[in-house]
Amino acid sequence: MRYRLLFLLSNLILVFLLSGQAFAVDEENCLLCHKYSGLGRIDEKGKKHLFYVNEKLYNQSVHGKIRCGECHLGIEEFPHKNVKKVDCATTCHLTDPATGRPFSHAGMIEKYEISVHGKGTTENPKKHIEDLPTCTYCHDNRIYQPINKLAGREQGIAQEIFDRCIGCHTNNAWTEAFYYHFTERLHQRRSSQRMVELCTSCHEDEEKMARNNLKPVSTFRDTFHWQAIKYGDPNAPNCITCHAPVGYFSHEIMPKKDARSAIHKDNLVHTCINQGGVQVCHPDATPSFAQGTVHPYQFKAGLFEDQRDAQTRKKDIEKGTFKPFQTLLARTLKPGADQPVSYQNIVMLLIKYFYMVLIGVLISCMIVHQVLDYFATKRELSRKVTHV
Amino acid sequence: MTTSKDIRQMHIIRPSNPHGDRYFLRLNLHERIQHHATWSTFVVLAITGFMVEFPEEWIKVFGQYHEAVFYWRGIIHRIAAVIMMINMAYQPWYFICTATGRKYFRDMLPTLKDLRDIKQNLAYYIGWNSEKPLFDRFNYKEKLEFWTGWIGSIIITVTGLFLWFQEYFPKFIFDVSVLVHTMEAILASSAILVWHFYEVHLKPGKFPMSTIWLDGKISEHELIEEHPLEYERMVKSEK
Repeated sequence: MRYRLLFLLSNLILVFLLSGQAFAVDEENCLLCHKYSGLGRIDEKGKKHLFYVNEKLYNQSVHGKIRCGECHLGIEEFPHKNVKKVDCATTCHLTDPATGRPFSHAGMIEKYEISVHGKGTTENPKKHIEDLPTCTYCHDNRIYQPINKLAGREQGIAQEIFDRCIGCHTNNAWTEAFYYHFTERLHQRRSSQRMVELCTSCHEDEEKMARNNLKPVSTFRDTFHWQAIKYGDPNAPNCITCHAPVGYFSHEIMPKKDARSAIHKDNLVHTCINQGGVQVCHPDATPSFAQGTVHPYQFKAGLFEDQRDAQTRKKDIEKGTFKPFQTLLARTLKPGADQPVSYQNIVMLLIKYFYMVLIGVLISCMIVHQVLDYFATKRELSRKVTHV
Repeated sequence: MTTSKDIRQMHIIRPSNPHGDRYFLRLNLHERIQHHATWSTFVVLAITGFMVEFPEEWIKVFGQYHEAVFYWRGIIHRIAAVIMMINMAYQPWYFICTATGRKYFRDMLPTLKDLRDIKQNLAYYIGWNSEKPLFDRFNYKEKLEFWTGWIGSIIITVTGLFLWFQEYFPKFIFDVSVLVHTMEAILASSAILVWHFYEVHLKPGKFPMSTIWLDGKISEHELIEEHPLEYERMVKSEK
């Protein structure tokens, strides 16, 4: 038994020595236990917690160079007790090469808290804090995905470019990490489609939006912007493109009425043009083009409607709240509504209903006419045949 | 007043075989070119246009080329639109500047007889009337198609131009244009499928298709059957 244990320990030591990089990061030896994929527990509420860490994936992630204890504070005994929830504002012992000081996300979080997604100020706190996205709602510990189209390497390292670095930066492991960081940052983290999925995971939730006095944005999928995203156009505008364009910052999105917002009425022309962006979108945009709303219209014919819209409508029909004409009236009578916009909405809806009736009536009449014609022609032909 | 061109339009094409069918010219070269331009641009515009409305699952068939497909979709849609607009200018020129065009346009104008024809034809369909109405060169179905086609083309061209040059117009015009352009496209496509495709492809005796659009010729028996008044006039002018 003792020999077996010794054998196991010696094997473990050997493994740790061989995987030099992992050893450097895992100084606290957390992986001794946490490398086992079954490691986890079920808490008092029956919720499952998984404590497994995939070493290989962790090392390739953006936090791969940070020791576990930097973020997971309060780990002093076995089994761990009084472990604090990870706070992204914690100052870690990683030195920021730009300033030489310990690095922290605290500055970012400060900015974020005063943005539209933040908890609000002490005088004016948000009502439903549980609805607000925290850091980890959008950010996971991402695996580095550097530009790899140049070499087509799986790891994303273009050797020709990497060679230019290692001439001076001879520490290969550090240079590689720096290379990964740099090249990852050169492109958009999420595809536009994933970005829309992320934002709409809250903003299409009608209950959550109503609770926070907001309108759901499901009608973004009616816009041409979405059609371009659907086809995977890399420069197609997603939520961030207009709500945090060049000169703005995604963590500092402001409410529409704030002058610092990209969609404030004075900033809209600039936002539509997107001067200085990867793509200049509407270079000839005028104030009259930039006015009005981009996604609260609901006017598509419904022939190609999104599965999601169909489900909401189905729910409305089940609840007995589906009343298209009352909805039309409600739009005019709603107090505080933007008058020109609601007026425009009515015009749009009237055009939509006009066309729906026109298409319905005209095409049905045509079908009836042609069916009658079919039988009349058949009759005629058979008469001719018998005549001959 | 009949010009020499007018007479050529009415010319009867005699068969090489004396027992074969006689043929009459129904669509001259101008009209066939216009029809070819119309149908080809219509098909291209409908496909590239409705591609915007495809659900996400359908786009997967393009595999890795979805991006290029979207780029070329826009370019091809605009090229086809320009050809369609040129065709839309060609037709008024033809209607104004040529004798055959003027005659074509005059024959296409709706008359009171068309209303009587609709009534009589529907009565004939359901068996209240044993006699089919005698149609002239263009019957009410063809006139309806011609005029709705023109109205629809103008609407879709104007809204399409608003979409193309969206930056120069207010956002509301853009929104209305998106809506009208889409709805008009749905209306036009379904009308073409039900009205025109039935008439020239699916109608008993026509399947798989009427060949008038290819060579412009209509056979004598078909002309007597479908446009008896026109037939009479043609035979009279021959004498």
